[in-house]
Amino acid sequence: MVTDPPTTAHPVLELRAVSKVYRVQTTMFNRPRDLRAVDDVSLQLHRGDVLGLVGESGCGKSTLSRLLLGLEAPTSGEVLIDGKPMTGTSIRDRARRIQPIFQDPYASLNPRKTVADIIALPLRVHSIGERSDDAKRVTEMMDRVGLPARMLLNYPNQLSGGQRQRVAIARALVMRPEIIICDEPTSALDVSVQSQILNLLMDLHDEFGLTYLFISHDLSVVQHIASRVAVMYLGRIIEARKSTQLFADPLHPYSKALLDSVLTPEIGMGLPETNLGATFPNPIDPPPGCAFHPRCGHAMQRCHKERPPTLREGSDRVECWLHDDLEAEQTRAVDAQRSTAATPDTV
Amino acid sequence: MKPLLEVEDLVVDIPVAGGDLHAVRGIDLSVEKGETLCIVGESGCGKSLTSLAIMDLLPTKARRHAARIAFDGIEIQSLRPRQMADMRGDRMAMIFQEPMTSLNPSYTIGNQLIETYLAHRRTSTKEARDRAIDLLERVGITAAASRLAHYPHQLSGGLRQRVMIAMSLMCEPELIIADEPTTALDVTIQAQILLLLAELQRELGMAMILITHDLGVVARVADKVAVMYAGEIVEAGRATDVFASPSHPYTTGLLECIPVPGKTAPGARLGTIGGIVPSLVGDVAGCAFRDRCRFAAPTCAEPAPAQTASVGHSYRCWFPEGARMPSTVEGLVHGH
Repeated sequence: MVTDPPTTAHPVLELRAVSKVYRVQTTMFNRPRDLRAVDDVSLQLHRGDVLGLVGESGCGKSTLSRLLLGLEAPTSGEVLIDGKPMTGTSIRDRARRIQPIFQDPYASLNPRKTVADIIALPLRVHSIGERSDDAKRVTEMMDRVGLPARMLLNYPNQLSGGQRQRVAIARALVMRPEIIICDEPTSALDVSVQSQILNLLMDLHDEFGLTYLFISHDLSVVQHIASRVAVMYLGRIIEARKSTQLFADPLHPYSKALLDSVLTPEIGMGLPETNLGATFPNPIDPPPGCAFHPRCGHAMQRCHKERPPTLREGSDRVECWLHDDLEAEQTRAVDAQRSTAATPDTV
Repeated sequence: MKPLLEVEDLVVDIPVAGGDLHAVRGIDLSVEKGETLCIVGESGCGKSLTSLAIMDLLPTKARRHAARIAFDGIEIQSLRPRQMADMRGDRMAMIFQEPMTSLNPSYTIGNQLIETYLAHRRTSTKEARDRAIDLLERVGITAAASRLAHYPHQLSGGLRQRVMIAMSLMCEPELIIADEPTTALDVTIQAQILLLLAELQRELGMAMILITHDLGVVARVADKVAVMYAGEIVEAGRATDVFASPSHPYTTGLLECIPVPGKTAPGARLGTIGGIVPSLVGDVAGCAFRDRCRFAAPTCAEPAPAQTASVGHSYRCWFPEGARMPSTVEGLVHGH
């Protein structure tokens, strides 16, 4: 985890009530229907933040990152950079400030370009500095991400997975952006390489004062690197809090289930029973009320009908009826008793 | 008790440009009835080829030889292809990583489940169909009868993997080999699938070989574990022993790479293993891990002997744990 973000300064990147709706044609004869990939999401990234974004596949994590990169325009709501609407800025401007690192370093590097060309390309596209300085900038950056200079003229297929991801990181950093959107940056790597890349990302964060949005399905990794965590479910952020707090005491039952599912290499713990049920709901047909209620062990009458309001406290928030009022407090207390009595629930 | 599967000195060579790729270099394994053996290692260590070698499903140009591959006392290497095909899917079955590529997209899942059964049992389609429904229900699929008419693409990843498991169970195999069965799935589904496999295994008394790169999975399901590196088993033993006192420098190194909530301080530097896996093309001599090992010494250029950590827990290293000194060998590539 990296230094705590200053909460007073205005965010470097912000989503305000952003939704992204896709029209999808399910079968040839049906009318096209709306898929709310991102549903009324408000999110703030402060300078120096490492915001971890977690959730199951299909929850809208990647759409969210594309919105932040400006690769998709929101259907409604606003994306703001430094308090200014993104729609007013040019792609070039955006790209100089926000850069992505993608999951698969095998697919995200051009196989026909050398390492030097790949890392220098952003400089050329944005006409930064003199062409004659490129080599210097590139070797500096390669050195910084731990790539030996002798690889300058290698092609991606001559590099290992870890080295490729270092190339991708060097390419993202060569223009000295402020914000990096890391979309599962270590998921395709072996654990011994993953730890090297995580160490590198943490070092670079401190050295360049970077801000990260760190998307990952691996909660151990997110807990390790993130200062804040947002949990996404079916297009909505259902809980967003400081990493230490969320991992110590998850408020939303879904966050808790996610944490319970993490398999740490500790012996004698057995397999967790999450009671989540097998099926992730179809995002075209989200359940009414709280979208999580069909899988939730705490679902009450109200959860079936009404969507829980977003409860805020500072920049923390949670969307769950359990935390809405006193009645819910009591339900929780009963549940807590029940779980301490350790009666195994059935699926 | 006699092991259900015994593998001795298994070697898999693959001819490539520049010589032979020694993908699996003389490994020993044994699994007893009802037991779970996890083979763990990083990409390219030969864990998947080991499983394919046992099932006799290696790519045609790969060469397999072993002192012994005995399943229930039957030497698999002496079986004719036809006899092996009868055994596969019947007495030993396999679950692959990505059910989307291992299920046939142009047949319904009902078709595929029923075909598996009919291939091995003299029975009616009706009976096979009933069994398919029964098994789909057993693996937690609701409305199983109506699912039979579905094609693989109509199911979610978790459901497809359940179908794959149901298919592997059609003939009640004695041994299941699961190659990264949950790697393509979400964490929440991963826990469910592993739980399901563990339950079914207990219920049916099957032996299981689970192949994974994830030490978290190993810690939670394994009875025995074999850690593979560069085509060799570098450490093996009961899971409790291996996790309580990991003894090979590679195993300890791997465990240090993984952040463990509650144990690793957030933001602390994670352990790393410098260097890269050596090429296994041509002659491979000595300890394959020595280029990355922080305790490497000149003797490591000779094949490492087996050491015993405790009963049934062994590792392959020149130096027992107490006798290791930080490496002074020149030219070690570290860092990247």
